[in-house]
Amino acid sequence: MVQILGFPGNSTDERYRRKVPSTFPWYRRVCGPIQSCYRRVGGPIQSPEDGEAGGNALVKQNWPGTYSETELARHLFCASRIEIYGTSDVRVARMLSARENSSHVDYVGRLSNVSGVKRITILFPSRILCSLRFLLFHDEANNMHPLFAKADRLSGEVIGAAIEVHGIMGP
Amino acid sequence: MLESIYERCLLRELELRGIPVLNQEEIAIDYKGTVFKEKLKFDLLADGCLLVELKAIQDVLPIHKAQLLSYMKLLNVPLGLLLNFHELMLVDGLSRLVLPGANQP
Repeated sequence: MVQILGFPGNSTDERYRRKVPSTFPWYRRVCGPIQSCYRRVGGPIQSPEDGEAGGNALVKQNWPGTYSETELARHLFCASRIEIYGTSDVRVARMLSARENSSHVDYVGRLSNVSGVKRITILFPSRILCSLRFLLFHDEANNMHPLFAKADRLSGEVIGAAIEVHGIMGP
Repeated sequence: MLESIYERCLLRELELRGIPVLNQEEIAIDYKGTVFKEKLKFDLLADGCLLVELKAIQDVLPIHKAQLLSYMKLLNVPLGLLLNFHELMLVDGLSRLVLPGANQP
């Protein structure tokens, strides 16, 4: 699950309150998918150039909440690759230069086709929070017990066996 | 009839269906820095993921469910079945217990 926590401006975390100038090279590439999200959730189409205040209102209206990866990917379907960076200018600059030289996966989200649906995977092993211009994503770990699905499948078989025993040996 | 008989029969039935079953396991318990090993005896653990507790009693009491839940917790097993064979219809004596939070995505 991916939880959208809100805009950096909304966040109580000081690290995410800083604005990112719209002159960064990745900015344009990210704008498209975000605007597409806005359209798909039925909110007004608003340019990120309008600033964080407008964006915040939009997010308050439509976005906060938890979405499944496929649901989020449906909204972001037009993006083939989403780059996610920290909001710190220095960090963004550093990440940009790192990206040029190597495949740095810490802050990179990828869309891939899984079982016929597009799925976004946000990879940031050392951190759980990052920002995509405005949006903050929190990748919630799947809390389901790893053996639950297997046990659930097996329970039918065991109940069947017990009914068999009960039928033969029961009261 | 004795629970142990039902247990042996169910064990055989699961064996015929190719489901691996255990009825005891040694676990390591860590309590505030003290680690000790304890051998747990339970009725059936199917394929390491489903704990089955068999009963042949008039009424299933909350204590029986509590017992199964504690075994599930100790063994970290997500699902448990409490089967009371002392019922005309087995479905009436069937309880399905889920370890809290184990089925939350």
